[in-house]
Amino acid sequence: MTQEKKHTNDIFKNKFKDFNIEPAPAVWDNIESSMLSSRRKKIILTPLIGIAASLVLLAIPTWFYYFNPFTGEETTNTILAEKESPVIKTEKIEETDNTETVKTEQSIDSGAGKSENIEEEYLNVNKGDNKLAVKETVKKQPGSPDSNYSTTIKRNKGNDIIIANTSRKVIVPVGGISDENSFLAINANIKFPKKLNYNNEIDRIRFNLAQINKAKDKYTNSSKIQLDLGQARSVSGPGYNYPTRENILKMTDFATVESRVIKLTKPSVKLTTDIGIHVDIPINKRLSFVSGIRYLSYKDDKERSELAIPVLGTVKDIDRSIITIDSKIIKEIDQSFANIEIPLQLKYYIFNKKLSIFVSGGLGYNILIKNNADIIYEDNSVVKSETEDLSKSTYSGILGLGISYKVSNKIYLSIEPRYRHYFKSFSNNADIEIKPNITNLSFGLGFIF
Amino acid sequence: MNKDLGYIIDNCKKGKTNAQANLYNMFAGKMFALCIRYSINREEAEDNLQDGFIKTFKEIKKFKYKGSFEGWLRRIFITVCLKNIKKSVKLSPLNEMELPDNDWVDNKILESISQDTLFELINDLPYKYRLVFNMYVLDEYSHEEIGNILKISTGTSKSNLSRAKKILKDRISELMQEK
Repeated sequence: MTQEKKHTNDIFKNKFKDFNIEPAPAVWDNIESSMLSSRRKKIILTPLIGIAASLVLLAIPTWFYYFNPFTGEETTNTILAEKESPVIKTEKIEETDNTETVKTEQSIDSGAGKSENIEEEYLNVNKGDNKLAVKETVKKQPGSPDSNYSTTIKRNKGNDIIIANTSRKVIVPVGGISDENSFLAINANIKFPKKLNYNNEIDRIRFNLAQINKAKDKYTNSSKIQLDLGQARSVSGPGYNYPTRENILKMTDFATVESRVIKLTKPSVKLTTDIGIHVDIPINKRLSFVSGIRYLSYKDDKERSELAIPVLGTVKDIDRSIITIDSKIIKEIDQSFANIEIPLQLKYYIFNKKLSIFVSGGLGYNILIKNNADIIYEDNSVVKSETEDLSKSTYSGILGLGISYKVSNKIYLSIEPRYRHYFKSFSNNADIEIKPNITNLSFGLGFIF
Repeated sequence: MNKDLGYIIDNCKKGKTNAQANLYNMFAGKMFALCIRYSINREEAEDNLQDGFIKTFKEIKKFKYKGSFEGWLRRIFITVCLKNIKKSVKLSPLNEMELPDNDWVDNKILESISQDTLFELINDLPYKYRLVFNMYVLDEYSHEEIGNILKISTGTSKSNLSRAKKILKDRISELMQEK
């Protein structure tokens, strides 16, 4: 377009820039009555929609009351989320120049007439990089049946407040909350209990806030500390070289008597005590890192033999001078030892609600802290000794599959069968290799923090 | 955007009737003039004005304070007017040939003509030419955009515009001669 043509077009535009023609007054009357009739429709429809929505909201907890798969009879006041964890988080928002306050005024029935200030910061949500807070201040005034309270909503300027839970989003527009319907919208994603027992609006608000907090706690993979107690028979697996008769003789330095039958039992190590404490630190909503300390004690597990046989290794300080066929002989040798195990495991929650199912796996580092060998003579006297050549440390692989049940928001019970395989023998003796596979059942009581 | 207008818009978003009335009073004159330019007659223009404001009040929440409010409003009204164009109106000329554009009105003459006279001259144009003239010259749509909105080819749009300009030039010349 040439400059001149452009200028001509500009002249036309400028001529009509502020050009006004007054319409007939009837036009505004028609517009006004059209807007009024659509507002009337809203006034009629909105409560109908509200009633329909309330019926649906009541139906859902009723269904869960009868068919709740987790809590059986206890179904009221339970929020069941469709997703793993809610969007609602609990970080605080700092008030900056970019934060503004939107105030609304509403009327409520003051009920008993007590004066209360209830201030709760109950929703902090993320919208992209913006953290928004909704802070509600409710001040109830005594006296007249219809008291006023104000609601203060804080938000970042220019942003919609998004209040989200696991199943639905409620968007409060930038203009702010202007009427009671919006306030209902904030709480619309809370399921009401079977019994609606509210004396006043404040009780309803308190109840809903409690439900939100309950929902938050319920579905978070929280940090935990757990006490474990376990015991089971062990199973010795491959890797144990059954000592030969000669080796036994070498170990015990016994003189054998041909007429005696040396009955060697199938040797094994029995896990007698498994007690510990561990900490469960969440990495994400399903995965946790587990570490702690466990006390594991082992005992030789053998059938009684006619001759005492130290199956776990040479026993120190046997008083050979008293061992004779005809005099005092050793009736039995009981060997035991104990380790401190430091587990380093990952725990994966397959299912993490009130009832959780998890698998765990990792390594354990074992440090020998106790080593006993009781030499019991036929006259029942006992000489305390210890087994030689026990390893000062060993390593094991640990696998577990468990269930935990939340008794309350802070306490849970856990049961976990565990399997351990030792990569390094308990014994440093070249002739003896003890790398058992041990299965035990561990019971736990945990605290969520 | 001035503070008052911002305040009125905020209240319109809240559905307040006074604010709606204030907004109407501020822009009715301009928007009616726009509707007349795009409508066949005054009655249709009044209908378009009514529809335009109803749509504005319903959609005002979508206005995010970015850009000119008047510009946003104009687009709503133009959309409403174009939506109501009678289907019987044929917009394609028989001959798509674009007239040479070197014969346009002298700027000095144009500036000497009053608003009302120029408005009447434009409104006297055949409807199909008037539409394209309004959209291209006064509301700054491109021929491509005009083609998309009116479902005509770019060539037809250009042709309609050049014919509109020819008619206007002839009428302005007649007017000058009378004077």
